[in-house]
Amino acid sequence: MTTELETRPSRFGVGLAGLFAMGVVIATAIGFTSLLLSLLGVGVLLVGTAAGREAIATLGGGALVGGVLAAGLADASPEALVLGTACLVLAWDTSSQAIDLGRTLGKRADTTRALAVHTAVATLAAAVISGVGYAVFRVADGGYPITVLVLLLFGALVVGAAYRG
Amino acid sequence: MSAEYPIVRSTRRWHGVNALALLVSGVGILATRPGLVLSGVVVIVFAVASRVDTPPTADLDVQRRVSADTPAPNASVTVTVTVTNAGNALCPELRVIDGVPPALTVESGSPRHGTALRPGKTVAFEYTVSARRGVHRFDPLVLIARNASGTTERRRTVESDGDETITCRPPLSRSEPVALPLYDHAAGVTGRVATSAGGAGTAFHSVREYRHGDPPNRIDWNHTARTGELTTVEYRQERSATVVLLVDARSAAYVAPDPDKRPAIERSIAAAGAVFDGLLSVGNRVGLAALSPTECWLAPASGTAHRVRARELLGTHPALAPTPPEQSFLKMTSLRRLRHRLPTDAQVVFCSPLPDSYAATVARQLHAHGHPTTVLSPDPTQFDDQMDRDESTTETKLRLAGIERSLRCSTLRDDGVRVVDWGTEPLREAVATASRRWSK
Repeated sequence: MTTELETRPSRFGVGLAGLFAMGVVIATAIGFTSLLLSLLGVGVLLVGTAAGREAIATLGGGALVGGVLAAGLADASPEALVLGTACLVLAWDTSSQAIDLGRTLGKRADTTRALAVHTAVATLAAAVISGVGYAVFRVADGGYPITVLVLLLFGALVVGAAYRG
Repeated sequence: MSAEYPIVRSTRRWHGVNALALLVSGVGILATRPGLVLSGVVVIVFAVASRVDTPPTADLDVQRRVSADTPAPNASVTVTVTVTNAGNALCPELRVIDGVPPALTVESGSPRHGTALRPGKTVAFEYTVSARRGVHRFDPLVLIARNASGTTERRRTVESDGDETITCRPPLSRSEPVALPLYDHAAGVTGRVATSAGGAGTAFHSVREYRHGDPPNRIDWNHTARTGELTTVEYRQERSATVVLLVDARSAAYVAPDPDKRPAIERSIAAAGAVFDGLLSVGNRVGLAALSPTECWLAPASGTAHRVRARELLGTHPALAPTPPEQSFLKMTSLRRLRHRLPTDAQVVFCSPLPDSYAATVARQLHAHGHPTTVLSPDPTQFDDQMDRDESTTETKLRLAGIERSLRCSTLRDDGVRVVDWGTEPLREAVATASRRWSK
């Protein structure tokens, strides 16, 4: 006689994910293709999150990545791209966190605090990482920004690989 | 609080993110768009940062309190779970899942909670369950602590401090005692079962010729005055009966029309309580037994103390637990042991939903071995309108089970066993209907 657990995420989680996804839309609103892809991404991500289906939410995240890529190719400013990327990461992270909380605790449980703290920490990390990245980019803007960035990329990959073990 | 098998595992979040970031950066390099390369770097650093994050340490104290540990049936019981972070590190994410006893239903609130806990802080959450008969033991709590990025989690199962059980002992008769008519060839000390034998008593039985030694107050003086012959009046002899109420508590007796409904054994137990009360209050000696893997026997007796013992047994005995027994049931051994225990003159009232042919065999064998048996059978196959109409297969299955069960009932009746078929009506009405058939 156990009550069946309703495993969909809370409205708060869906709302937060939607908020960050809208950030991607604003940052990529430079061309028609990028805007369209981002809007599509927001829709799919929200549907996936609200239904508690991780695969659909990831698909929405993929469309948002497409939006950022299209904006980059359409010569969006680096500031807009960094903001868009940070929002993209946060939207995807919040969505998967909300889905996971819904799956373990159900819709009726109070998960607001858990989600709020997680999102706050992630937002802080996103701000610091984007800020530092952007600063490095600006400082190195002496003609070889891509070379510097590629080196930075490799450096990050090596650190990541070292921690993988 | 005892910790069992703390499990630390990766939640596999951020897997595959590197590939995505490299794709973005790659496109940026090929198309010479520094902004895209920067985006890729941001994503990769994010993934690396989450990997560097340390596994959570969680030193937590958990306490559970219930608002009433011996509630009345159907009363709402509020369960409050308090979690304290006894360590000196922040727990960025904590999921608590309380082990609600399987037979209880959560009425409001949720037994699950998600939060973050600073060192020394306490969080409490509560939910209410509806009390039902029996001893309900809480399962251990599950605590899942995660680090801030959510990449590693530590899962533990803990026993809480505080309340572990909710015990609900319903009164013997939930509404009113039920006077179940017994077979009338009872024997033993004086009581309220009217027998067909003549003798001392209150209800007129017959008149016969005076025999030497008959008490003078039994002589029919009017008749003597008219005819000059001495005659003696016989009254119906009243004896008390010894009755053993046998509750079918095998796992098969836990059948219910659908998983949300009360299992049939609960109705069997309620019926046993009401009949026990009814039989005891008119002076019979009544005992209790269960057909279950766990021993359960209360020898027939009478009196107030016996009544209290019976209530305790029907409410809390492990053989009549609210969830089906896990041990296997030895059919023949159990029946043999029961027959050895039954007093020779005992009648049996067998409370069983008759879920299988074994239940019918028990009734038939006891009846054949000189224990007049009445089967009191709650019908678990009644389809009511509140149930899910869409699932037509459920309805068909219930119909088939119902046909099988009514065949069992009629075979038992053919063998001379009395059967009270208890549907959705009050037990009193079902008994009245059945006893009209017996008195024909």
